[in-house]
Amino acid sequence: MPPTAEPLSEEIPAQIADSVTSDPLEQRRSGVPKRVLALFRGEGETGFAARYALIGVWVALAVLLSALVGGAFLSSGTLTTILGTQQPLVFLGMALVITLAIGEFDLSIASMLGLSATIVPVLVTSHGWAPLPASLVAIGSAMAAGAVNALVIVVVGIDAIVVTLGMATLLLGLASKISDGTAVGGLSSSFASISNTQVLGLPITFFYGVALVLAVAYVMRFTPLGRHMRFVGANREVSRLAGVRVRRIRIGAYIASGLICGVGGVLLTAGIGGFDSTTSSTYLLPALSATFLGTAAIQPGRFNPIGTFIGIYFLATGIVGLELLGASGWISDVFYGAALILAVVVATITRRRTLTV
Amino acid sequence: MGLPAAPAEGAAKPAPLHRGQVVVRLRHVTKRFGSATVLERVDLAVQSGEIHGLVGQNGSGKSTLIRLLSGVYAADPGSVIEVGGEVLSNPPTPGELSRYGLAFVHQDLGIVGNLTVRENICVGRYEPHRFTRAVRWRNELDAVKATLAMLGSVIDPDCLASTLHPGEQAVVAIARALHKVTPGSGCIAFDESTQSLPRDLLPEFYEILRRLAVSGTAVIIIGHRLDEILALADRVSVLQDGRLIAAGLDASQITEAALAALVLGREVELTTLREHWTDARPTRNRNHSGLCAVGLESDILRSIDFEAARGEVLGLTGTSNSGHEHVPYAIAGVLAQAKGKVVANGYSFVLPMRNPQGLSDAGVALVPQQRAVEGLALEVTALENLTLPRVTQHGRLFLPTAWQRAEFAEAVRMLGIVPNKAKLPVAKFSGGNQQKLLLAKWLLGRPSVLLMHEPTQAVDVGARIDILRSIRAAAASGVTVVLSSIETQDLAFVCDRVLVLRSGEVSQELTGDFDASAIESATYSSSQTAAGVVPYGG
Repeated sequence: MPPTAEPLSEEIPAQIADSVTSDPLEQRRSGVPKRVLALFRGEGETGFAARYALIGVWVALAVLLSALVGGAFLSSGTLTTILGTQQPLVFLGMALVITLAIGEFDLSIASMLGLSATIVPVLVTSHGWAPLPASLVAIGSAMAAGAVNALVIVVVGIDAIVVTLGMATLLLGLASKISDGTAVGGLSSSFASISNTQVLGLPITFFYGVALVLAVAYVMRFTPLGRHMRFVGANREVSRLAGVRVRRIRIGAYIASGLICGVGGVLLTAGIGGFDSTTSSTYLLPALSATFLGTAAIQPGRFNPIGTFIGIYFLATGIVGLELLGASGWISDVFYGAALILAVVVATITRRRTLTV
Repeated sequence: MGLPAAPAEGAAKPAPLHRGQVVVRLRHVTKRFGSATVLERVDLAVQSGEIHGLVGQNGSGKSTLIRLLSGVYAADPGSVIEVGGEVLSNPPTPGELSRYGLAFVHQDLGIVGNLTVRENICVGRYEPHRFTRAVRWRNELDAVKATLAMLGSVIDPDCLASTLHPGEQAVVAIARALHKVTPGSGCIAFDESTQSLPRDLLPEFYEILRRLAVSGTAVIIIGHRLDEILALADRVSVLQDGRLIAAGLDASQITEAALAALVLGREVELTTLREHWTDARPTRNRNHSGLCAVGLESDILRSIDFEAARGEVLGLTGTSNSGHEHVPYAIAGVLAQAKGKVVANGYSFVLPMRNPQGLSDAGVALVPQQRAVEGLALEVTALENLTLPRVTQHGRLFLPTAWQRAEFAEAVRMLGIVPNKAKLPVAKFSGGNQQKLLLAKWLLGRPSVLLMHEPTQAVDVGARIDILRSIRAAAASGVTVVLSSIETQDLAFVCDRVLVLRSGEVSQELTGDFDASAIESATYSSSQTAAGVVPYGG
């Protein structure tokens, strides 16, 4: 007669136990500077080529454009234009990444940014407020809009696309009302310094953007919250049964989206010295294009902050180059629209590859 | 009762009317996904009037074979699929499939939740009016009702498929396939259909298969339950790692043990393993209550009380809709309509709970049935899935990796998960290994109470033994295990005690020595004598 259930370890074939060796690459990943480097590394079984292909295409595009345009493209002015003017898109891109990564959708980002960018000059110029309280009110309004989105989508349970599309139009109208439908300006140059201070030849907003991207990337990649976000995006029921506070994460994402857009709006309006509320909707499509394009880089098949960042500058390079070639304003619509479709195709195919056996 | 009595003489296999013509012939069928060869030069002939069993471990290529035949995937160049002597396109087009009367019930069923049962059954096979070209709903409805009645089911054809539970959805998927086949011609293939079908409908299902075969239709059944395949099939073919190692064995000439050896590629005496298991039951310590449920209620459960000791494996079974399948979810606090009181590991909880976190903090772990829906996120890596319940235990600011690697290594050691690749998405593991990952995900949290629903669903013999062993090992280490299942063999393997539920109440308790057939008879015999039994789907 065999005795009672024997310990399982005795029944394990030796080769299985032996093959569990620690990954040397894994051990190098400790220490904070290494961790920042690790942000740029992919995860899982995806190959080097898949992770960095977009960067390669970006370089190829730059080489092609400089061959076509000549010296003008290679001037430092062009580089500064490309790097220094994308701040609103970087902020919008991060707001999108946060919501898309957990399976939500926020189309009201550009309007939240526009509302925030409108409130600051209206309060300062027409009502004589100081810039700081005006900025806080602007950011608070954007967060409030995000909270209303969250309330209707998560608590009431309405489709996110419909709600945020409605919110986008609603906020656009509100911004137009408080600014009387015209561009508002008159912000002081001392306030402008929060955006326009030059650091290493670039406006400081570029570095705000980099810091935001790294922060979002860190949270999504290296914290328990990020792991929870990934599962909420992949399968809500699995997350719920594993004790993840799914609703809290969904609500938090919409409010964080509002916060990021609000801050982005304040920096934008400070840099320009004012804002025309009717232009805010032009920021939505480029941000969407870049975010979907970003799923083709760093962590293929997933919405990821660094990929989005690369996507934004990839598109900006293309547009600046084409404009230098003589194309007029229409080119950006065509380019961003085409890039969105192409990016979604690439994202879908990459995702399909990871799922099929 | 919604169940027509099963014809007594249906149990024997009558000789088919015209048997022997080859309906489906596969020649040199090969399929590779990237570098992995899933099927390697498979040659197989399925004849009219036979039930052809196809068996093999998870990942041996059974489902891929059906997907090639049904046109989901294209086979690699050089592969030939012939039906009725004619070579089909690669992949076969829907037109060809319907012309030759080929129908399939896939493992994942393919039910569209927001369409009605009737629309699901009739999809792709509408019968338009001659002049108006409008679909003739009335005729269609009658035909659908007839098909469902044939399966012994009383599902309302106009209700939405998403409102059905998984067992009923399997009925709908089978009805759809039956609807496409004209008895006497064509071929119909069932991939693991009996796994998801409610047990009380199995006699009707078996009977339909036999009648189809007798009429001359070729029937292919794919499954893991070798006893069932042997009882039903005329001939059996075995796939091992993508190769057909046995084609068309006479089912009456082969024993279950011999077939299991072919499937596994090694000698396994299932029967002796069973006996070994029965002897190995540890004496449980009844003094320590691990779990106590008082007045458990839901829309089906009617005030159930039970207690399970530490180190005890308590089985719950019954016919579908008897309520046994609700108990694990109710105790885990995730069944919204559940009421009652649960005492786990000394902590007391009142249901319903707004946030089931408290229960899991008390050491209650739930291994749900639908691993792809509730258990694991398929697109996420194995490592991340495995460690998900414990990611907040190491501070909120940073998630270290060392303990995650250690947990994965431990899971591999405990359950023999292959491939040993932590960073592979779960979708790329076979069904059995996914199930092992799901079990390990909760076992690694060292639960004091382990609640499980169908932990061996759609896994092969080898994985099933690994899983059942680890359940027993968990109990031996003091875990209270509650196992809700309709697999009577599993229950007989691992349970110290089995509660049989009927209409939401405990109708019988099996203790001491019991085997699978004792559980079977306790489940079904009692339900026939009982008054007020809710018929299936009613």
